[in-house]
Amino acid sequence: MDLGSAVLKAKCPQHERCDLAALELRLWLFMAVAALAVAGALALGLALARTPGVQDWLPSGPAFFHKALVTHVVFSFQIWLLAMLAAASVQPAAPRWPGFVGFALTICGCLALLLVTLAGWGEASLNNYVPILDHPLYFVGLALCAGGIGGALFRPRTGLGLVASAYAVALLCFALAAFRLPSDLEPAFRHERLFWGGGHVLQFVNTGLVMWAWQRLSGQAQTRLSALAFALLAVGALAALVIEARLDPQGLAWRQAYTQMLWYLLPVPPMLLAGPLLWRLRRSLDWRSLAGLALLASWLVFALGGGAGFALGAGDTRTPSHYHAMIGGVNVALMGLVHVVLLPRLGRVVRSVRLVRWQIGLYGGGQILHALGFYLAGLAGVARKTAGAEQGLDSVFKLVSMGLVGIGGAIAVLGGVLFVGHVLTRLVRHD
Amino acid sequence: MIKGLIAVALFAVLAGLWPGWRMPEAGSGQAVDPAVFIDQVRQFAAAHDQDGVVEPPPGDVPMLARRFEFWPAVHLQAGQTYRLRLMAEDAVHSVVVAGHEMLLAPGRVQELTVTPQAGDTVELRCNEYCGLGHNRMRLKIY
Repeated sequence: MDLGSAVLKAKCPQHERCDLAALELRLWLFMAVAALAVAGALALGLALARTPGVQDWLPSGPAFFHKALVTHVVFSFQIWLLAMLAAASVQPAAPRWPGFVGFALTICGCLALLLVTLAGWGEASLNNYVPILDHPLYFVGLALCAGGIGGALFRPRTGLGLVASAYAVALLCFALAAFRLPSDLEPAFRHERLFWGGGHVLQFVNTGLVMWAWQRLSGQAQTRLSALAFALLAVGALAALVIEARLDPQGLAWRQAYTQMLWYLLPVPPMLLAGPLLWRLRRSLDWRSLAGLALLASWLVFALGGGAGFALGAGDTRTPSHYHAMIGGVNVALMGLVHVVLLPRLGRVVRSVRLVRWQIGLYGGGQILHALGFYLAGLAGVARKTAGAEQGLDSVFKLVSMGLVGIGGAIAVLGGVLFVGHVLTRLVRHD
Repeated sequence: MIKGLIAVALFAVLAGLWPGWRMPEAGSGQAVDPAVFIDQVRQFAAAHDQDGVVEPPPGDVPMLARRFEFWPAVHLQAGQTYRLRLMAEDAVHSVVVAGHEMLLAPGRVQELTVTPQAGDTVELRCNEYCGLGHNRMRLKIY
């Protein structure tokens, strides 16, 4: 059977083992990109749920809007990033069976999430980080996905031990919250608190993933400073255990402590890794190459989002500017990683460099415009999570800023669609 | 071994620097009989209602936080000092004013003193997710 593992075979004398590694990598990559495709299809569902006439034909009528929105966020944010993390953990020397078992669990979890969504079961809860549909099967689906990704990460010789430890802390925080929060709490409050702590720790995991991607894209070996950056990241995530030990998960201090944790403990590790990398690469890297372009786009978007994070307002669109840019910075680095590192490992090199260059440029550039527009609109006082007349776009500055949000978003979506289409084609078709 | 010690040392340094570590738990407010307080708010609103807008005199202003509004919709005067007394009616909410936040729970009354100045905008906003209409839960009181 041809598994497209030519490159891995060339590096590994145990061909059978490497074939399996290639198969596992291909499966996780397929899942990651398919998660984006599913999220895109659900985004279409969002539009349909707002279309008179059509909305009555949807599984749960107009209420499908919020249900589709929940699963759109889960797939485009959690499943995509965690499947990419699992793909990053596929190394020839690591044992194979935990990866395959993990993949099977995660697929079952994803199918459960989709089944609940399409059947229209459960009420939507748009709580932070991991929005949910309040149905037992949805929780089972999330647990299967979390466990499946854990299967891939918690195995020896992945090279991602410190990121895996942050992931373990996140899972522990979810479990502690589930155990400590009474089951008879009002559902919205319980869901928010259930996913708040672990959701914050998952940002350490996502940061670890993008740091790993930067390192691979740069082609530089690990140094003492980069090792320290990863160690600091894992140590920072551990601080969550102190919050859990000291504070009541129903209190205000508990919630605010997690916000403080991101402020104080998260920014240093990526800066410690990216700063020296940028210094070393300033002359040697071709910034027009795919790796160089992905690094440049990621650092620009990431820096914009990081800067916005330290100058947020209260309840205005500077907050979405911050998190859209942070996620965009992670995504564009991962897109580069897929094109430059992971697909070539499967022997499926990029066929049209020009197309991929456009794709990265469109996605990165679109995200910059999108985040910049949100930030300027926030400065002018536009409230977050509002639409239509509620936005109060009563000045030219506000109108232009929100126009920039729309244009940037459309350009970024085009870049995302190109990425999904191109990578799925490369994974399915062989040269 | 050395890596482990370095990690522990780093953790100790972060522990010393990080303020979130030492945050005290905020008070949950004064315990009241929810039914009595709700009745008090209704009477207060009826007494000061002027064509749909409640314009209270300076002093205590009892209010409710409920899905997805602060009630009654009060309008304050510049230069006057008000003590807002807030209780959640149906679920846990919170109130943020000028960057300061308090959790609101049924049966507990939290107090907040505001003195609006000319040119200010004072808005009450819920910052604890309370349902699909959570983002609409805001009230401009000056």
